[in-house]
Amino acid sequence: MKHRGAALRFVSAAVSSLLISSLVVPVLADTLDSSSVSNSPSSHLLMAQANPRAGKKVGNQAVKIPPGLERLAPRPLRPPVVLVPGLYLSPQLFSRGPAGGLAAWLDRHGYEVWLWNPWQNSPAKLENMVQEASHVGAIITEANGEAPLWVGVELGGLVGLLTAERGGSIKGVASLSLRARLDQCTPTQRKVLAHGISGAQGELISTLSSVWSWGDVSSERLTTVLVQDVQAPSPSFLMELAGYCEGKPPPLPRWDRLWLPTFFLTSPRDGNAPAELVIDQYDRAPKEMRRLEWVDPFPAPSHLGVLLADKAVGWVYRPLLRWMRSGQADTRTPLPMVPAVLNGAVRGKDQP
Amino acid sequence: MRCAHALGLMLVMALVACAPRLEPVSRHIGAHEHTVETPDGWQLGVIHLPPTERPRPGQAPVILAHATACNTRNYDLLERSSLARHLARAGFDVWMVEWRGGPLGARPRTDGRVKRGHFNAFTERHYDWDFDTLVNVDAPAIVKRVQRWSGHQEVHWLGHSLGGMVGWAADARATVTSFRSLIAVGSPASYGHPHTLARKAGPWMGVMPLIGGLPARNSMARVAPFKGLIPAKLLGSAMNLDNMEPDETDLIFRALFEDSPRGLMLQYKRWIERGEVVSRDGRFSYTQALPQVRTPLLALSGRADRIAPPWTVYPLFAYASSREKRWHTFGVAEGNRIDYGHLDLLLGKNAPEEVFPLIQRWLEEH
Repeated sequence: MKHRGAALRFVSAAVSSLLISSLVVPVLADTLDSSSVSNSPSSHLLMAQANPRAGKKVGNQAVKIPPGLERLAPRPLRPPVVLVPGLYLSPQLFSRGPAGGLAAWLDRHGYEVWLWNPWQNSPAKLENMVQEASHVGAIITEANGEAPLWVGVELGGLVGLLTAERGGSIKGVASLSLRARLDQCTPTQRKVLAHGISGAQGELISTLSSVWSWGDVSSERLTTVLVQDVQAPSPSFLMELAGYCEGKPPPLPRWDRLWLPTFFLTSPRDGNAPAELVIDQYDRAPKEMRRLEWVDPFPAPSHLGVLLADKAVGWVYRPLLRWMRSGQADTRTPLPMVPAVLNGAVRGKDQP
Repeated sequence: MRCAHALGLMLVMALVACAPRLEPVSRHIGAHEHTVETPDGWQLGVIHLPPTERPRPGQAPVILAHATACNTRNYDLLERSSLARHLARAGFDVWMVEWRGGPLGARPRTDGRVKRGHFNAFTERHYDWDFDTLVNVDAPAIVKRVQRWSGHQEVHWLGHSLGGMVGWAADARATVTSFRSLIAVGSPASYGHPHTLARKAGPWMGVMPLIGGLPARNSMARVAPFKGLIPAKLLGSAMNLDNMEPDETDLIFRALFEDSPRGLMLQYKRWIERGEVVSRDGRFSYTQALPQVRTPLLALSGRADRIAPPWTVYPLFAYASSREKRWHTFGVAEGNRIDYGHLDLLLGKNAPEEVFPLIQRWLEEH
């Protein structure tokens, strides 16, 4: 009897502590979240005691957020990150992937997530978009007190690089499936631009679906993206891009002016943002500040598969988070695409 | 662990290499077989396919050079997917060449006679050659002889994988100076950022010499009946299976492969380690000599090619100094029906309608 009583007391104590921890800790964590910084939800309490960013300047929470820019949830003492989609896509893309999407996942992992829709204000030119991006960087910096990390997909990554090059308020740029060479267009890219300019929505969606995924994104998810997230830029913007395809000199990141951490992520099978062109830019980025991540399972993911395939958490989210937390140099620098001597010899000539 | 794997693989390959050979498939129909003698006494097989329709008297002959561990079946496996026959029908004078050690050639023996037939890496370890040999000896000998036979001063050089590499390297090093144009199909010009496959294969390249080289011919032929058991990941590294007809895949296993010598394997290992294509002694960098390539150049690659992925081929296009150069990757985004792999760039079911016409157009324009 004595033993049974002790056992019952032990069980009831265990159950109570489990209940308390499951009910109280999240509440505490949420409460502390607004006053402390953490790198993962589970480490909130520990981080509150030894918060390396305790002295961080708190941003101006009353700052006016313009249309097109959205803060997922105010986390003023967390480092900010802004997610920017590529051509024809709205930032809803970042809530479509596995684990609730990249935005929610980064939020859960200790970042203040901002979403910017570059197409909201229908920029007439790429130049307008870069100017607006500078403004976005400044607003986030003012609101949070710290410059954001820029995570851009395709054209969104290029805009981040161009903005940072001009001294925009950006701490580092992650380019997922970067499309840096706007002058090297595939026939499909030309077709997509032509459909966008002429407003042929049906043909546009059909062409996009053929190049964005080869079947690695679930049809349900792909349909949602195609139906709800496709957003066409202004015809003048598309005509500018089409001009680059026809040989007009495109804007390229000036790597001699870019001295900030950069992260490049590429899939060998992504024909929309070909790996060879991503690597071409990676090779030019400052060696001490760059990192390259291959998404190279078999078969390799498609353009949208990089973010939306079921395995995207392992392929993309985690490597991206590792870079965001280290934020610095690649210790596993691979060999360059061509020897430095050769690359240096033609760098100034803007080949090919 | 790696050592155990290496020993296991060596044992399997050795057993497979010693096993009785399968019957070869029939030879190229309607073609004329010749040999070219090199200055060091080797005989290289050459298969001549004259134009069958609409001959083009002024057009330079087209030399087709095959890939590593392959033979001329690279270009003439089946009627429906034969680039050689496609070009012959289009009026071109086609010459398919074998590198040394090929089945139609012969190698010198110490007693002054020659040994004909397939080179066997496992039993003929005393024969060795490398990429430099092909660039400095074989390619010039082949071009000179085709010039004499055809009566033309210039030739088009079309190479798949290694065949294309030899072409641009011979142009860069000026061991051949009479190319009218170069067509490199899935031919790397750099090994920087090696693909996962190459990174994993690198150490194995160092193991191969222990068994004489790469005993691909018998190994592949023996494996053919069991190819269904090969993991898609491994098989799909060499070709996009969605772009292959099943009967053709079977024939590839049985008829396409040849053994490769240890020198070439060691050189591949060095390329992967150094990230660039260098001579065997490491003193000359072919990759750094890319700006010396001045011949009109067509560089082709496949989006799903895991042996020569586009970013290893791209530097050829980007850094060659050719007055005219073009780059095309075969993939869906590029407007093709499918993402092409390595072997299906020439042997795939869609190649006759998508790849061959592009090559034909290039030749017609030059």
